[in-house]
Amino acid sequence: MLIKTKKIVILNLTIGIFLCLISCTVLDEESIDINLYPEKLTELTISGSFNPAILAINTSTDYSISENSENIGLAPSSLSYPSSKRNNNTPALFLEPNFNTINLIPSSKSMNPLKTTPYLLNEDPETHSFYNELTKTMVHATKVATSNACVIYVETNMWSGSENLSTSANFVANITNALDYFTNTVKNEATTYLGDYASPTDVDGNGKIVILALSIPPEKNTAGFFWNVDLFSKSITGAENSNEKELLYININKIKENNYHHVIAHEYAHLLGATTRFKNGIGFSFDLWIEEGIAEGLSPIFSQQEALLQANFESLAHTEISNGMGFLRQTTNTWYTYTLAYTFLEYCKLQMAQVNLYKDLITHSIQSSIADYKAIDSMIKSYNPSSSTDKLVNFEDALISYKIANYIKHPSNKYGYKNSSFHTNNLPSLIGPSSSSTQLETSGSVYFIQGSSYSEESIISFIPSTSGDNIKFFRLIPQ
Amino acid sequence: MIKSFFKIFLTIIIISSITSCKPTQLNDLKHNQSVQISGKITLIGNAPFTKFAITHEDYHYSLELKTNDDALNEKIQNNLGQEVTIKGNIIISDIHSADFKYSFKQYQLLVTNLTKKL
Repeated sequence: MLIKTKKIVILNLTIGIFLCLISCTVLDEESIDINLYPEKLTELTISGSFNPAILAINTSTDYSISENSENIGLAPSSLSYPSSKRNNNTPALFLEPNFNTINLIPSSKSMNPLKTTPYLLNEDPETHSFYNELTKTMVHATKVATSNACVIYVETNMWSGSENLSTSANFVANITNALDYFTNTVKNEATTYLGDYASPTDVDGNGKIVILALSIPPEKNTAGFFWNVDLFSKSITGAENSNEKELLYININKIKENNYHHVIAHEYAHLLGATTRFKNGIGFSFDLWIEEGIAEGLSPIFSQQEALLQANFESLAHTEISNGMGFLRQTTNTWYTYTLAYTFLEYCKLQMAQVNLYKDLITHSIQSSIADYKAIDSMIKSYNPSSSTDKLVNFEDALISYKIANYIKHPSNKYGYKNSSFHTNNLPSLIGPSSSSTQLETSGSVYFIQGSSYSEESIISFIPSTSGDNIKFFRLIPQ
Repeated sequence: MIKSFFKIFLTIIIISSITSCKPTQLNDLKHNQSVQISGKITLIGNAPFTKFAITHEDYHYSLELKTNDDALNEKIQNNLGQEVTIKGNIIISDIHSADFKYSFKQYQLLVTNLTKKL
């Protein structure tokens, strides 16, 4: 009897455990735990006419390409992903828009080298061999034009070799116009804006900037460049290949296509930053995105063409940016670093009412050794010492407000470009990400906007789920 | 009383000597100085001639990284953007302009060890 009772107890226990296991298994199969984090969402009601939207931003200031991308968790429930509307054209690195503002004037001058002003200082030779650090090769070049501020050399192979550009009236006219553009516009405007910083070194004693128009292999995807080692003495270890000149390298295709305005102004901005530091005894480099942001920001000023970088604003709706690419990423092969850094610095300039922002950044580079985002952070804090929240408070606030501004375009508060018609009118209609699973790079963001893809209900009811530690969400609601 | 005064005095001396040795900016560093710096690996300078650097986690100055070792070089590149601790020696070089009118001190860190921070 006792044995029988024992057996029954064991049997019952076994059945009980079995049932328990089954029920647990069933539970596991049916339950999906979603943790919600309403505290990660900030509600913002802003005056204006726009559709309600959710903005997710990675506010980290880490620079990693991949590892610091953070997941945003579950997106608002979508009706569809707007793939048909998206612009998938990825521009080439530093690809300026084509401008039709300069008329081509066929040259009636001789095809011999041009001289518009006699030299006063060291005379530049008629031909010269330059070292090209990008391709690690020598470039033989012929002097083709000179003014009191600039001398232009063209790669000899292109000038009198197979291409024989010296016989092209259009090319010669473009060279003449480029010389005039640098001498009478870029140099003058740089002096007006930068003052003393626009007086570069003169290490070759010619009193001029040298522009070398050269062929650059297509795979380098480069419109032009400046190599600061060219200012150094060859006697320094590691600088043996210095050209010992103030030298701008311009892709000859930019001259051929009459599309040199942006690249000349941009590279000259790099040169002035470097020579200012050199003259002040400072060896300093900002992080890549700040260096390029300054050169981009100075380009429309030096060229006197506000619309020079219109494409940078328009590109804010490109796929890569819409999918969460940030400007703090550190790679050399993306044009988006330039476009995002430029639009962000322009936003900061307008919000802080600091027309001299770019000059102030050059000043910073000779006064401080802080080379990263903290340089911008300290400028913002000194502009707003009382941390008034209706102004930019710090770098993170500027980053978030810039992202909101690109969507809201408010005319007066910090969620816009202070009614600057150029900036506001060229901001594109932003679109959502092309995938439901979104990783945001540092300083990257995505917008989920009520419309054909997201219903008002999905925007209004959205609560963040599990996401990266640095991801912040904002619900933007029109007042 | 004298004992406790002596203790306080000693503590102050130790603290101040530790903090005064801490390079809070580039020009606090000395040539050949052995250092251990924690921070992020970044790219500095203009494209296409950017250089790898470490940005100090507290003082935000950047030191260009230098190595002749292929494995270390690869490790630096692979840790771009990451928090690391680097040991090495400071190299300070005088850079002169081609006309010898201007000069500056170039600060580099010759890397001997790189550890990713967990």
